[in-house]
Amino acid sequence: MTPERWQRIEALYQEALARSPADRSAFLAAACANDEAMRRDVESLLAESASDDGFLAKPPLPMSAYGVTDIVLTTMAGTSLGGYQLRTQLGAGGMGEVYRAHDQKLARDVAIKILPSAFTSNPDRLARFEREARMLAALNHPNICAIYGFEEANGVRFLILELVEGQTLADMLAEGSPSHAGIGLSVGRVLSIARQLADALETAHDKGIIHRDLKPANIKITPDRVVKVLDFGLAKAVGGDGSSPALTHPPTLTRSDVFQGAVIGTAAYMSPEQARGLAVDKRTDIWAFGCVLYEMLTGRVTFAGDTASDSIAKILNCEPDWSALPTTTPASIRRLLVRCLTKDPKKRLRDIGEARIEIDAIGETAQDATGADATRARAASRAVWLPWVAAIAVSVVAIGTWAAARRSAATEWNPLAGAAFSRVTNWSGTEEHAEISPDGRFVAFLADRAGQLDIWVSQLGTGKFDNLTLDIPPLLTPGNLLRSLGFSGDGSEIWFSPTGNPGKHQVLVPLTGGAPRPFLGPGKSAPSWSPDNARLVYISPNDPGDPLSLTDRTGADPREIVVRRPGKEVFFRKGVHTHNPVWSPDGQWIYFVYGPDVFGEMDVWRMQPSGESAEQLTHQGAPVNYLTVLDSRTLLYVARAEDWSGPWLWALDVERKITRRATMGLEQYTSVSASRDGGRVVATVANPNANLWQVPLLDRLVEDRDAQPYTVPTERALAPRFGGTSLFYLSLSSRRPGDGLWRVQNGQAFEVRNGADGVLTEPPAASPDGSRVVVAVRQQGKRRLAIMSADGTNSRTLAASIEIKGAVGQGTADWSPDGAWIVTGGSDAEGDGLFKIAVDGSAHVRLVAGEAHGPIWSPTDDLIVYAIPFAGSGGRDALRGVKPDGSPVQMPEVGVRTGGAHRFLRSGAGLVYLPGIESKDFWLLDLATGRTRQLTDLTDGGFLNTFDVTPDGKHLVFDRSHQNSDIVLIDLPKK
Amino acid sequence: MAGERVGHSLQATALVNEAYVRLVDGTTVAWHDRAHFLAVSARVMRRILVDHARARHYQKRGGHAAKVTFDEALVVTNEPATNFVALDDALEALAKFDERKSRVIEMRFFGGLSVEETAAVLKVSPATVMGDWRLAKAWLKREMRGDHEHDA
Repeated sequence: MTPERWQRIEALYQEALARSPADRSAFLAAACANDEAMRRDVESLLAESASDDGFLAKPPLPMSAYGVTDIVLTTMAGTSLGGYQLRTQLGAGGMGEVYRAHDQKLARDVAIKILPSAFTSNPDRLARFEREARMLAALNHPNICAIYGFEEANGVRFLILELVEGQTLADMLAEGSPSHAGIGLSVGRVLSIARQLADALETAHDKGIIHRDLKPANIKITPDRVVKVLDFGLAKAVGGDGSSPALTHPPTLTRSDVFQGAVIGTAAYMSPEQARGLAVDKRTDIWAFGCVLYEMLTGRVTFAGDTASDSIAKILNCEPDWSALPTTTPASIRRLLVRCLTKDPKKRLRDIGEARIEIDAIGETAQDATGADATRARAASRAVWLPWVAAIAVSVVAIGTWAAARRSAATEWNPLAGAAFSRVTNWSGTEEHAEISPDGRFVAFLADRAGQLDIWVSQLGTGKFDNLTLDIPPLLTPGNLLRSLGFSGDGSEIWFSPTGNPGKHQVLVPLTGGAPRPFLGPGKSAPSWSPDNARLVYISPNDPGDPLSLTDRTGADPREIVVRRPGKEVFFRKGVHTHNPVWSPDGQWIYFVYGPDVFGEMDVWRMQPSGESAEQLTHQGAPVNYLTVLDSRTLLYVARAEDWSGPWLWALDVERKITRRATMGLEQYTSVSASRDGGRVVATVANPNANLWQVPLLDRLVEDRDAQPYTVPTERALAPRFGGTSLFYLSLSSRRPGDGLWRVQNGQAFEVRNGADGVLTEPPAASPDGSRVVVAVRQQGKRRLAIMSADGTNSRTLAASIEIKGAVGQGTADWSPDGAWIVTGGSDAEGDGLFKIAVDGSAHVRLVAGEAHGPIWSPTDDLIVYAIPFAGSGGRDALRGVKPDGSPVQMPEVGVRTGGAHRFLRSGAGLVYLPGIESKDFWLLDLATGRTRQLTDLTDGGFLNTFDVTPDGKHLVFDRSHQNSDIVLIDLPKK
Repeated sequence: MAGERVGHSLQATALVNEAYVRLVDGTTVAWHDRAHFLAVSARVMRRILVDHARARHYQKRGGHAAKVTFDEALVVTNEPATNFVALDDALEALAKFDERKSRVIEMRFFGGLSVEETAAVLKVSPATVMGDWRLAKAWLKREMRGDHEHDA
């Protein structure tokens, strides 16, 4: 069979299939008039297709079979299991594989641990495991990773666990001393961790639960330095009754252990009685605690051995090398270690609570020592403390932090603690801007369920939803950041901005449906009614500084609030912004969001309605939004963290002026609203995803069917930029919930820059040869350019005096074709401009003065095109051109998307652009003729951020992101 | 086909272990994504099942050349028995003039990939995969029966 002949056969076969069975013979007879063999060939294939005998109908192995899950599950990321959507694999541990997953019912991120078939296929073991899991689920302690449940779906058994971010103590120790050569953690750090470990063990032991497998790999430290002990008691649940763990059955065997033929990591933390296969009790955990404490202090495994039997021999026969302990180790900790690591369990420390007391005693001494001179003298007079006190001098900060952490742990404050979360919507697509009625009975939100963004209203608990704006033309554009709808003071109506532009007329529409009526005048927005419903505060976004005004509840008799701050500059002025005013429950204060950059630096302020006593309450320095009042001293709001991760939900204690993240999961919160009594809150939870797609550049209009996924090795990908043979893009970092920079070359993905070093929000700019890349790094609220090699090395700031400004996504730069210059929009000491920066850092030149975004440098080196704000048209910019020497070039008047989403064709003959913020379609501007042409007609509902032209010039690769947001109801515990 | 009926219900864990070892053993394969991983798994599964089938074939004929690495504690599956040796040969023959269809069968049958996943790996549309799947099955059935007169 030649490929050519086969192609002909296939074509005839497919054509015949497309016809009715009755017509096929005639068709084939005509088509194969000269080739009887081909006719028979096709006929016989058609006949084979006609009989459905189950040939190859099922894979040879049922893929859900227990045994196969081990391998198949490696690839389960992205699929669903029961009500859980599996995201990425977090690791493969002793008791199966662990995935980051999203609990769709409770709208929270969890960890899913899938149990290997080895013990789920045995009914006795399974039953025992279930019993154990139930008991462990009752273990509720901040330092113990919680077990939420044990479920089965698709023939797979899995545990639902608290998702704990951060690195394991094992990783931390390995990182601190790559060679593990005896450099431990600082004493202050060790004590902080040990204290939390002891606390966790004490609580579990009180309930009769023994860990049995405590080791650095089972201890995680969150970014907030909270210790979480993992796999509590699972060793028993999995391994049997635990009374006789023979050497042949060490507590955990990870797959890598098995395949490396070694169990060193596990054996090293076994107690002597465990190693001998004797009965174990809580003193086994105390031994392991001693091992971990020793390892943290010294950076060495307490009983290290090349093989498991070496380790076990040392456990049974040798003393730890006490000389390895740092000289700064407090004497009481040395004594504690000796007592924990006593081989005879009868003589060992009996109760982990004693360890906690010892550590606390040091903490108090340390606190005193950091406090007063007199105390230091007293401490110093105790000879035994001398080395320790000396150490304090250098580790004051560490201890102080630790002591502070203890204090705050004692008065752990989180208004959402103990709250019950339930889902209000579970629709596909976007739901956002959720507002709760003052009485807490209704929720109103925007959703694209009916194709466009409408206001939907539901009485909570009924599960019924009404579209309030079915007959009103499109309301709001997606991605609008500011609060743009809400309930009237009496809860009977909903205000919103019908054009999506808060500067235009507001409208009130009855909650029960009906004709909308104009409200407030034009240029007024964000109304908020006082608790007594007599007054109303709103902003005037068209005036400098978005000043606040007061009126009566109908909007009549407005009066602008004049903020009196003696000696300070005018409060509402050009260059600052104000939004989201809300009242305190007693009506004495108005809280509001105020700052220089709505997309960057904003904070919560308050003042009296008279304009007196204005003061700043937070130092968030980030986009703050959806300020809402829980009670007389507590506010909730949505904001990004300093590292630009999020947005998360934050709580503000007005009296103490302290803020904290109120939700610790990875789900993003994009809106929050509380009822008047503060008992109920609705919020929007988003799980945004992003993928790359490609379409060919053709002479005809390209449609959905031409679009294909552009596959990269990471689950999430956005902001693609090609350079040389590499593709650079942004994706979630391996260590933190924030995007870092990735590069794919020859199918291999490589994390160039971790998001932990500053989350990236702008598309990268790759040099034409792909050897270097420029990114906009956000630090202390400012974006500056950094240049680095394509492997992430040699990173340095480029033109430190230039700050990148504008909405997120605009801070993009481009390279000259010879790789010698970078062009970027930004602002230096002399103001906004378009800058040409020498890559060697030697010089930068202002090409154009004034605001400029998203410059692109022509491959033919004769033109730089950039965007400037288009007066009077939100979301759109106008294109401008300049030669690399700074002389202006006339450009056709073309409106493009704000954010610099335009790229040159590889030939330089034209440029591809997006005509507006909502656009999902590409257009082409022919530079020779000035004509434009629509390139694509795509309908996918995702949001298109940016794109690039492939190196061969034949395709566009672009990103599509979906918010995947839902509304959740949060019922707060009764006070 | 009768000879394969019991012997091919490989003990699942053994298969997985074997597959895992083959997948990780000295491999420098960079996994592009889940679909790519499944595609490679499919290849590995095919090799294991076919190797095993061939080994049994030899043993029945008194050969000692191949060592069977599986636990012979076999489980019987309810799947229709398939002659893996004949299927493998037919797939090889198909690949000679239509590599893609051969891979579609491999991924969907041996790997259990969905149409969409197969499409993603092969960078073709799901409709193309469906078309390939249908025609390739027809051709393989005919080929494996061996009753078709081959055009030379």
